[in-house]
Amino acid sequence: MQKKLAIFAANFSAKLIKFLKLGNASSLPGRIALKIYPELLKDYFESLDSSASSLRVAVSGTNGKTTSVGLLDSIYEVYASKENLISNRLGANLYYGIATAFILSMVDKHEKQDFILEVDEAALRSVVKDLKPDLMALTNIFRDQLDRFGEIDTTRRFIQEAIDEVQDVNLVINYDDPKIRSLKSSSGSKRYFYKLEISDELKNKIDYKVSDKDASLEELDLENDIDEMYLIKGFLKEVNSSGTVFDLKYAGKAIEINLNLPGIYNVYNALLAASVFIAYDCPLNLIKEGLEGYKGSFGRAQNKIINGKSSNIFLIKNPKGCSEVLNLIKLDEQAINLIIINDDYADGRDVSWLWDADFETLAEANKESENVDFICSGNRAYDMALRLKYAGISAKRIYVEEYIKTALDYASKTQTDRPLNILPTYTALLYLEKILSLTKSIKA
Amino acid sequence: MSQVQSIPKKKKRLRLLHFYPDLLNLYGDYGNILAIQRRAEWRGIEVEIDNLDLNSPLDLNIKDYDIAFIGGGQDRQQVKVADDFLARKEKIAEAVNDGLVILAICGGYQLLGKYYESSEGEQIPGLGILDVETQAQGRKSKEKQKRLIGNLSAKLKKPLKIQDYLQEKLDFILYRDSIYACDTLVGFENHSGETYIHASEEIGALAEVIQGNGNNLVDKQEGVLYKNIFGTYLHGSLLPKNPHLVDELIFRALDRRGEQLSAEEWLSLDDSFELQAHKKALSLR
Repeated sequence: MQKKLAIFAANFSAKLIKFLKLGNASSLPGRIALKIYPELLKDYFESLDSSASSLRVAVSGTNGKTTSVGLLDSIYEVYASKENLISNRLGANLYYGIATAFILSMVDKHEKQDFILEVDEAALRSVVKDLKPDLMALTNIFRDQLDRFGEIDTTRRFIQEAIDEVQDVNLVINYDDPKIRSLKSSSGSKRYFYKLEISDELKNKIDYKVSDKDASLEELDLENDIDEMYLIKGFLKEVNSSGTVFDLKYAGKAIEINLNLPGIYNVYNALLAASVFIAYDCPLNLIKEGLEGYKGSFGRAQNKIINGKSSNIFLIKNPKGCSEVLNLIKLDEQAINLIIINDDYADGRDVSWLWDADFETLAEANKESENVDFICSGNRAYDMALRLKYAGISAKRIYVEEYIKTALDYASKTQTDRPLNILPTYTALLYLEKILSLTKSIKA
Repeated sequence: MSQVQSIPKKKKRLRLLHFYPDLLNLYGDYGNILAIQRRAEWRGIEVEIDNLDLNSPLDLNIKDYDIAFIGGGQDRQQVKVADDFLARKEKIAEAVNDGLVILAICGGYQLLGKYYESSEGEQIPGLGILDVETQAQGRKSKEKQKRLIGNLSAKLKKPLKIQDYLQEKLDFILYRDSIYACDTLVGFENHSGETYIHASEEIGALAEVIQGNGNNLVDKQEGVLYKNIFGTYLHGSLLPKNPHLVDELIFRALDRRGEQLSAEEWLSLDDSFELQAHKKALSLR
């Protein structure tokens, strides 16, 4: 009875929130339902037929979660029936957000067996405790939101504790990130590793920098010899501003993947997604179809027409991810760049990270330009302007407008022949999404 | 081109020493180095930057440098540098007495003090050059909170040397409109240690907290100023949006060498972005 009431309350509140246009109801309904009946999620998984084969995946790490889940969903669609999947691809990745996704699905009689979820690092332990995934896929640990966690070591500890929480959970691990590669699992489980290889020639051509210098890495316990059975390799062949080409190699076979996402960091996301399905014995040709069919999600290298202007939106949120995006946008010297820095909790209150992102990489291109090439906006627009100025970009190429809507209008209506790159932080991206859907000027 | 031969003026030059850049580099510390470098270069002063790491010779003459920067790191990295730092104590003390300008932030600030007392009561010795001590959060203030994290702004206790110098040289209106009229410091704090100063004639807090915590949860003081050492908990990066503090470091470094810039040279930069960023940070809660 209490259980039914809890599901009803969640469903009702979700509909009410949507009807009153209070938000997208991604977290509150779960909170309400669990208040009424705390055992709801546990019951859900106990009620499922445990003999049926399932695919239960949790994705975590600092960067690349959303795109990885998008790619996983895309492969899943090729591989299995979408009917059976719960995903929070567009939703919240904290405990109550995930609970909401499940509880709302209980309203349908058809109980779903499978899930692919992105989970915030700090919420990971409590989420996997109740959800018991059979596989955890880990992207990377970069410096992210130190004002939330204090230190990077804390993030790694969160993830290791979550792994220890679930018995026999298989892992998909980024071989190229020592902080991930050194994570340990219990003896009964398997660890799959994915790594990327790049020829020296291509490395020079694209000015590829390996990982951050971090002297603390020496202490980590790293294995070097990985069994072929558990090693998935990518071999990078081509990089351009709209996509990448690489060979996916596993167990003596290789297949070429044409990924519609730019940037080497997205090849890593694709390798993670491929490794997860390899772990579930999915054939490589289906993985190829799924990966190549994926076109990106909002704000992750997505192309939009804004006020008639071709625009690319790239979420930036921490030094490493931001540097990758900067490496990408510098390929297009014609573009105007709108950088929007907010400092709400979800963005990180501390803007120090801007100084650790490689804005210097932009300084060489168009050095003598007399145009406005950079527009800085958001609550911390002036911090951004300073970052560009001290990176060596002439102040006359920088225009500051704190109000995002005004800045967007300015950016899309001036110098109309130039394409636009938009680099927002998280809350700025949400705000953009809102005003762009209001102006209805977007075509995907 | 004019054919008149003028005797070329000897170019001014500053040598900057960056302590442990690979280990103490957590919160945008690079921005501080960049701010010193750029603001010196924009005024025609050459800057040479050397890094000091665990492999640097112990007999390195630190007093040969003009400005030293020590940042903050994770607790683990901080423990790692502590021994090496102690082994250089004599060289550092000698440089401090000689007037070396030092900016030490967070971990670097703590390491220059007498000791850090962990939550278990264990004392990790520091250099003792600054008469301050740091306690793991909650030991002294009895207030339990995990870390001191948030926006931090503070009012300078005393005018900076460059402020005294320029106030005397400049017309009142020119001074008032410059960044040098600014008597506040702004940034972001993120630390678990609480630092207490044993106040004396020689050593005192750098500023009084307006917003945030500063040194500790008790006395509303932020940072320390002793000789030419500036210790502080301000990240952000600190220096780019506190340009008067950058110029103070350069001013003191030049002063030590017996060199100086004219008031016009100090005023020659366009600081409007810097001022706006500073003002914005002052308004943050």
